[in-house]
Amino acid sequence: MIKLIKLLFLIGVFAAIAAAVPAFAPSLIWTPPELPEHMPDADTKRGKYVFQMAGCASCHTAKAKGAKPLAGGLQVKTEYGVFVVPNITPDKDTGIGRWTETDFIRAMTQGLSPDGRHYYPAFPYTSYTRMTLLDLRDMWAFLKTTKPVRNVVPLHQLKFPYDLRPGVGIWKVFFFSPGRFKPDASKSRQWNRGAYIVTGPAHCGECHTPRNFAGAVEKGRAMAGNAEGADGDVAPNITPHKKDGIGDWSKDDITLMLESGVVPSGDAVGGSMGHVIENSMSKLTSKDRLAIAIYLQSLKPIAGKPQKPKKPEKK
Amino acid sequence: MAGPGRVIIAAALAMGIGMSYAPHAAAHKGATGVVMHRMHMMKALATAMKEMAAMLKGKRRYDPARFSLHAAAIRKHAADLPKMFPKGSNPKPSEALPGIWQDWDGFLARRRAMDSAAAELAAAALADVAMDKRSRVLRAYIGVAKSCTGCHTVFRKRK
Repeated sequence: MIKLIKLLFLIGVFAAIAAAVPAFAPSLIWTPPELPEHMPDADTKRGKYVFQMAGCASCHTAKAKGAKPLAGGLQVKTEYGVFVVPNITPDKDTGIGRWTETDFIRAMTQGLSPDGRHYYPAFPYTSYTRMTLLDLRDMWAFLKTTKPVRNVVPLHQLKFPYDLRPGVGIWKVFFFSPGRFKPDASKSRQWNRGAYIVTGPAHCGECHTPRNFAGAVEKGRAMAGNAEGADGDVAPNITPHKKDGIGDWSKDDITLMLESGVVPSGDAVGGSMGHVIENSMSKLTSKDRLAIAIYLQSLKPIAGKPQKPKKPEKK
Repeated sequence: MAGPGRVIIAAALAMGIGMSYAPHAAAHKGATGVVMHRMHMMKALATAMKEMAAMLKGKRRYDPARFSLHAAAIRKHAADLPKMFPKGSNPKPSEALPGIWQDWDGFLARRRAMDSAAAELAAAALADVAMDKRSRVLRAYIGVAKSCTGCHTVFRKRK
């Protein structure tokens, strides 16, 4: 019995150390990726396309009238407190003008700031980590061409204990699996393209997959809907389940919805998906939208619709 | 004529009424006055958008004349929009956001965008009598659809 307790204690200590290393010294565990030798020069036009696919403007441009593109300031209210979205224009003092390409790739794929602090996963690096180096490089090249805006963004206002940033490092040990998208050779090119877009840059699962007690996406219910999507919107089940998902949608239904926001009933979406349509999906090529539809239709149908917990009526 | 026959007819009528209202029940329940009017207007718009989408996807026979008809109706609805949203008309179950009245000019700009998109749809449909310019009609349809989405994104309550 004592042996068992000792063993459990030891396991606990190891787990704590394992968790503490990335929490307090994250830069120790990451080495920058080596870029392949025959990489073409960064292409800003292609970068703009990737940038749109990644939907950055939906959060990094505030909604207030006269808000400058990508200058941040949007307040995202969550159960953990208020996240204030940063300025990602190339302004040297208040934006990311002093970043290097490596800084950018590290932020996007590891969730680490240039000075080695952890980003909260409100920034969906959990999905961006799957992006290819080529896409990230081009996107960075494009970001550098955007207009620098001087805009100081206030700090996040998070509740205890979420305001303790090293906690994110522990969270990452359990819930963050960094690594590039791995194509499935048994599937078609189109399917792989769709899978890459959906699970990587377009980060659909960040809203459409429910989250567990720790705020991490529940992998077993991928795309099955989430009552607490962006800005508290209900993100519907988009698996091909006949009754609860989009199983009765054709490929054309999906691509037309992605291009225009109009669903098969003739209604038009709004809220955060409206921004996704406007900033991202409507700007993709029809080939990419078709790839998304092919991938979504190939998912395992999952029953159940996201239900908003009933709140008492406010007076 | 008393007896079971009458009961069956009454029950059938009740069911019929119940069923015909069923699609509205979720969102439109309890709406009165101008809120009910605009909800019906939105429903009419959705029905038009749905029929046109079915034609563009080949689920229904393509008929440019139907597009002309719908485009004219959409323009009429666009013209009526300001009247449909009088100041402060926002009792439950309205799905309008107060931003409509806080940014009335923005709302009117969206209305104009809807109208010009529908005007282009009308023109595209009229130009397609020979049914060889479907891609222009499709583009125009998407233009109208995006005007719906754009306005909903800013001015419609989240679900």
